[in-house]
Amino acid sequence: MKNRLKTLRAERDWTQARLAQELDVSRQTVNALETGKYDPSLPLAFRIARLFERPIEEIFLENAAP
Amino acid sequence: MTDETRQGFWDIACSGTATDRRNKRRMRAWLLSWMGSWLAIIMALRFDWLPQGLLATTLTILSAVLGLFALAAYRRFLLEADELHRKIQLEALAAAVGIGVLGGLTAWLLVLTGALESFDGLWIIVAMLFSHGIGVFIGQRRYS
Repeated sequence: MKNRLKTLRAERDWTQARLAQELDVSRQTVNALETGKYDPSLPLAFRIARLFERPIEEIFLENAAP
Repeated sequence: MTDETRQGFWDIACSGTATDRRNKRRMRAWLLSWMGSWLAIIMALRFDWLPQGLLATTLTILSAVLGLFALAAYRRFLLEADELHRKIQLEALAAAVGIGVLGGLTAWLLVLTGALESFDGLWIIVAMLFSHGIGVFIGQRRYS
């Protein structure tokens, strides 16, 4: 699953550590999410969507999506 | 924006939320207490500082109680862990349990077939501990 986390973080000029703190996860989790190595759980995806004030489907994109 | 795309092993091993770090510290303390008491009892029995009997049995049970606290601390760490860390731990645990069951049953069968004269079950525990450690290491690398 692809995501726009890195772009959204860049827009706010946040470090991975800052984003991790905002989401209450480790920096490794943020890094793994951004590099596409790990897909978040549904509760974490909702937290991310709430933090960036965007719908989930605008942040996370299915690989097979047209 | 800082772009940290690749993290070193120690960055990852020491990373985690404040809750993770606190739970890890608690878990390590209980684990060290249990392992220390376990080793002390073994040494005392081996060098005849402690005779077999009621005292040795009582100390062994007390050591097991410390082990139970370590187990509870590990469970709490898993339940409250950052979700990626929990995934890494669970993958490593699955591998360790798999190796333990497979190794134990295979060794038992090898004794029955005569290929092995005898087998000390302690080796299975050692193999499980090592495979868990290796599993965590591989998981940390995979998601870094």
